[in-house]
Amino acid sequence: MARPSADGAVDPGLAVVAGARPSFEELYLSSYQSLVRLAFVLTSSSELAEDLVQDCFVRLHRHYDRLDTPDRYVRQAVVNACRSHFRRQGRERDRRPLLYVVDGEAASASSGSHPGELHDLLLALPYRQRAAVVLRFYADLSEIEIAEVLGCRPGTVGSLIHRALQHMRRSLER
Amino acid sequence: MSPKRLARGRVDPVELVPVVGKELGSALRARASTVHVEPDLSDLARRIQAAEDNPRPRGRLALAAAVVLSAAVAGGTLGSLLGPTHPQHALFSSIAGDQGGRLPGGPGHSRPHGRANNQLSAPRRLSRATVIKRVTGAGTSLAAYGTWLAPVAVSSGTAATSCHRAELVTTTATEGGARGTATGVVAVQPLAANGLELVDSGALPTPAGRDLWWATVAVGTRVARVAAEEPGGTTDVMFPAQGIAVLGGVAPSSATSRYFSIVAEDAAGQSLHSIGFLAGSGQEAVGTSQSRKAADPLVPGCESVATPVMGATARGSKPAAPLLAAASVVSAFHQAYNFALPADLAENLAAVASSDTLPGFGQSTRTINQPSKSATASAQAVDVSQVVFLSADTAEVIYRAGSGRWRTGTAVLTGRGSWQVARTTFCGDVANGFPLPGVVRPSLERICSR
Repeated sequence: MARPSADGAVDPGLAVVAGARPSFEELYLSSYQSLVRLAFVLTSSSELAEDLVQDCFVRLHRHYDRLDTPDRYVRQAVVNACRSHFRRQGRERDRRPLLYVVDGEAASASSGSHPGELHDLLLALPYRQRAAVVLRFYADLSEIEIAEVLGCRPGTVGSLIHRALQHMRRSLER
Repeated sequence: MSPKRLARGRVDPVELVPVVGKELGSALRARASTVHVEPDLSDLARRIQAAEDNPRPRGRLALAAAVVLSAAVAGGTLGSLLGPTHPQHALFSSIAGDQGGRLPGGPGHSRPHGRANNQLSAPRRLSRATVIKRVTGAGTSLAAYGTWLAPVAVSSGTAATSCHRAELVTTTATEGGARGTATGVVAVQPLAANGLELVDSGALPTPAGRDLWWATVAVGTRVARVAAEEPGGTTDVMFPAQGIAVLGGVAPSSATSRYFSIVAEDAAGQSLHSIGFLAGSGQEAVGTSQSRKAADPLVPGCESVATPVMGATARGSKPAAPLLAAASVVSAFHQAYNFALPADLAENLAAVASSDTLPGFGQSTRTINQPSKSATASAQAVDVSQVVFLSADTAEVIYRAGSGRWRTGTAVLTGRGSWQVARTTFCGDVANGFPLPGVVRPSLERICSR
């Protein structure tokens, strides 16, 4: 009957239905919002996020019966779809709005006071750095899990996150 | 906590990671929490249909596709053989239900609703549309999606359902990070005007230690207001929409099962009917059986309630998505047995398991593609009344052609992921006098005899 999902209050990553492997429809219904939010964090557009997630479920539907962990598959598909979107659009940094121009006072006062500011800083990062940071700090994935999603070594994940945070820090200092 | 301010160019990553990282996580969650979206199965179905109708060659397959395309162009026969063999050819055409090219919920979409007016025009294909989306006064988000089951009943668990035209209603409830779904069937045979029937219900704990509960009910035409009550008083009220009401809310935890009464009232506020149930218990509601009209005739096209009793019961695992699989099964039977003339047997046989490996298949196809001028048979429709999944890859199906007798056949899941009519079923029908246009019978008999 009722099936609780782990769609937690803070939408942590994409843990979907616990226990038995969910049906395609169950997985879709239970994980749709959290996946859209993940895509939104990566793209800053909820409309685009919904579009990408729907397309990812189309791909998932094609392979669903052959997948042991469809939730992981679709999460990875969403991250890759966001990357593909930016690739199609060319240089994403040319396309995204520039960072807020933050002066020293504002920077020191704004940290944590405006969720959108850190998000905008994030959106200025190269995609792989951005994805690594989002998967680490938003989705709370381990470096090994992030490496699986991004298709790289775990050591590379640490490097990506380190460089991303350095970049953000420099931006805050300007 | 702000990151420590350093001189320009100086970086302190050891400090940076916990500070920025922690704040970043919080900031991103706060930002993400502003996004509220609902799953849209209709749109998903349409996309899947479009993807299957227009498969894109990828990578190295592109070359193979080009070769196939060239071969198809060069040789009409090969093209005709390859043309209709897309995997899951019609799987989502059933779900999308875009009859007449319109999509459910889209412009011009008219949602047939026999419950309210008794004018039964349920489509032969499944369509899915949002019935209700609402947020209760307490902030609980409720949504109900309806999926028409045309003359098909899909078994659940070990019990074979009887055949009604019915609508599958899936309800989702969301509150404070908890989300639950439940599914029930609304029979199209109209309820009595005062009727009230529980479709589904559920209850689950929220992260905050309370219970999220919900209930979906079908109501008759006189019901203007539905209220959920528990010993503490009325907890939620809704004016039904399209014969459905979805009620829900949060309550102090009580082991995820709560007793409710749901009361149906008319426009004057007079109580018409009430039912009691334990949300989340899976038990039948008390009082439901009184609400249905006793003398309602069977819905036209639903005579299958009197058709052969399905001996099978589900004994193995079901497909991952039973509803979609059922739609695929129905589509396969329609494709296999629909012999419009001039008959393109290749398309019919594409829905029959193992037929493409039969010797003589191509020759027979060519023959039928040049129909006799004297052929006068008309398109033969098939009705599928029931699908019971025996396992994840086998289903037993009750079907018939036109007004013929009901038969029991088998559908199998192919390696390509689509459902097809079992060859034994199809060829058995050819041999046993299934009504076929005369022009195609000789060819099919040749194919099946090999």
